[in-house]
Amino acid sequence: MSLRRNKLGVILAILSIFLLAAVAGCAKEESPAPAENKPAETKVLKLATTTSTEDTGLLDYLLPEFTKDTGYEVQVIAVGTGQAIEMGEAGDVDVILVHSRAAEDKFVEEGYGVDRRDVMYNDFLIIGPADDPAGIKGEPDVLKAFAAIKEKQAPFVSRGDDSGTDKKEKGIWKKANITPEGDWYIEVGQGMGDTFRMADEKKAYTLIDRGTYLALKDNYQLEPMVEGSPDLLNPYGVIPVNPEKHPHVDFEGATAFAEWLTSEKGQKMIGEFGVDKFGQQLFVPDAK
Amino acid sequence: MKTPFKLHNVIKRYGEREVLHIDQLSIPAGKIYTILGPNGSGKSTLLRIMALLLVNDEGELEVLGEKVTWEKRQLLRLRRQMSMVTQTSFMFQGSVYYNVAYGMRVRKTSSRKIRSRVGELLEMVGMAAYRDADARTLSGGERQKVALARALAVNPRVLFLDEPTSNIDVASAAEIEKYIRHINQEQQTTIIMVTHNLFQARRLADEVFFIHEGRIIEKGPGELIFTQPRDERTAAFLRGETVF
Amino acid sequence: MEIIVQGLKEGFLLIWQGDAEIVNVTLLSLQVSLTALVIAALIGIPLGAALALRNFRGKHIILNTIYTLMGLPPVLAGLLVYLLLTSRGPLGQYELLFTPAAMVIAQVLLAAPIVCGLTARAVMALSQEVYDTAATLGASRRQATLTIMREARMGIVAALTTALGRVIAEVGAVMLVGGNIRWHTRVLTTSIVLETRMGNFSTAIAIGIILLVISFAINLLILALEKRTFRYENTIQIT
Repeated sequence: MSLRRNKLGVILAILSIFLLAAVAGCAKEESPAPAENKPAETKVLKLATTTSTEDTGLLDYLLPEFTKDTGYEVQVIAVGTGQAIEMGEAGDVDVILVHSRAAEDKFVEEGYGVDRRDVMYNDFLIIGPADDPAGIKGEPDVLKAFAAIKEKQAPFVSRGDDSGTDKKEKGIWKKANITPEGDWYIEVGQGMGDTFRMADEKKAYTLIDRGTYLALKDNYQLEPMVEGSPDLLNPYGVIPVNPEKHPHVDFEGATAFAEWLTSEKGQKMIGEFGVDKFGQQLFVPDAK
Repeated sequence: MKTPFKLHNVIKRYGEREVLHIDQLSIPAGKIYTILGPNGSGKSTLLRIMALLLVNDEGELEVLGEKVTWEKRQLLRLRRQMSMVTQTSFMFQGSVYYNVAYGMRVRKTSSRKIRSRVGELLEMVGMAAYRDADARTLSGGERQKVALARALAVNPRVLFLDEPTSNIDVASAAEIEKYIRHINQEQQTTIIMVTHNLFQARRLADEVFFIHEGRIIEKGPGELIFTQPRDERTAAFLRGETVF
Repeated sequence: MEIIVQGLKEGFLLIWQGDAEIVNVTLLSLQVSLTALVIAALIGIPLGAALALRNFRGKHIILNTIYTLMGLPPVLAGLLVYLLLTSRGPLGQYELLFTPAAMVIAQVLLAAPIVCGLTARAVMALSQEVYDTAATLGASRRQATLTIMREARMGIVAALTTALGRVIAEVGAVMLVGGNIRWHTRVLTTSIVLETRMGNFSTAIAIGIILLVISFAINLLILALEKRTFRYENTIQIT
């Protein structure tokens, strides 16, 4: 009998721990909600964007301020550029923030989005193992660096997920007139963080955006090899979804978001982001 | 083997409770014995110990001339000279044929021999038509007959029967009894049967053990125990009164 | 709705044309998961039987642990294997990370507790009479154990089916330890994730269909086996 009661006690204890945890979790989520300034009704805006803006922490930095200024809560769906654009085409989101100029232009041309604006750019770099088997460290021309990697058949991890970064990389191979093929070219079909991890594990080269690199570099051993080449710049654009294609989208909110990002305040915040944490600016604002 | 079973001070407990306590028991070969007693008296426990399915906690046990050590090879050697029909006549998944052939198969008997022997036994118990039937679809009486054929297939020197006719109709029970007697007479198989059916015990038994609260309180020739019980508790049981 | 119809159409077309990459991905999926299942069966069935049939101290703790592991989150299994195999991990020297072997290991970790736990349950559900009957008919301990396993076979087949269903449909572990490398460690589930992420919904659906067809085929096979093996099985009849 006492044993049974003990058992029951243990079960109750475990249950109450779960319950407490759940309550604590809720409380935590609710407490920082700004009490003052809060509009009567919260308007929700859906944003599809690339993993890079979320992984670097940029959105966490910008969005509370945007909410304070406009009253819009932003729900972020962080995916690859390809899927983000698909979501915009399907009208599943109100606005997209992506980085693939060709795909963005096509998106606007086909009438899915209107009023694209430049927001900022970041840059990419090639990172690789310290022993640098392809001998590209310090090479100013990324095309030559890619050619050397191919020449030496040095392992290169490609995202291979049709993301903005992946498109950028494929574009560079194309410009260098190389078809990357063979065992040395490893297409992993994963996000930037995972790709970084796998490249590190395999002691391979990879193309990475500076934001992700700075955020994660302490965990891994790969080092910067090639940077600063004009071919490595990566511009971001914000595009509201066209309300004529999808009448249910919140065009007003989407426009407010685009305007806020390109406003003096938004641009200033983008420029400042990351300086305190990484000692280095991650994104360069370039709204016109 | 003149005396297949000798028990000396055999005790079995479940936890604190002593469920069986046999001071002295020897069972000579070739007869039909019934162990009689009310529910929970320890009948099945005694049977299971003699069949080497249950280890006694104390005492000495001699089976088929060997002192039982419960060593693996001895256990198998002794068990292979005995067989049992359990209370529910548990049937393995599979056909009637599979079930009857089981004991011979584990003894690596040739399949030609198995086939003829199974046919013979099914013929004897009147189940030949069911050779390929699913054993689990048989009725209670049919199962008992198959279980009996299965136990006999291995030519046991000792056959244990645990309530062999408990769940079946009178006609089937009579048939089973007929086979039991037949086997005993033809092959001098020692038959040890647990039952709480008085009439069956009386009809079949050469000798009856009456067991009460784990102890044998009366034993003797079948007829005698019914007509002149010496112990008051036996008499009460025979009169159909509850014994406490 | 349109996108689903479109996806189905393009999906069937891709399968019909025998797209080399899809064929490669499908074969690898089968190879990895079936290998994992065989290994899990070799470990899980004997272990499950032993747990069910032996009595020893701590048996209940072990059983409860195995039941808990049956619900091991695939990503966690993946993480454990990852940490073992990473170049800085204890087994790093074998360079198994991001190979099909690593995926097999992770899936064994997921499948073995299921096979073991469900086998143990199937065996424990049998009555004492199975053993008693076998023993009184002269079966040796080994023969009686085999008979017990034979009686439990329907439960064991169910255990294997459940395990295979779990590993072939699992994505978290193989993504982590396989790395989803094209032509090397990309399987059906990681392909679906990738294609969806790229917005190629029709390809994703095509691969999804293949996955469904495989599951269906496995179940058909098992049904056929059951019909042969379980000819004598009792089923509950409801009138």
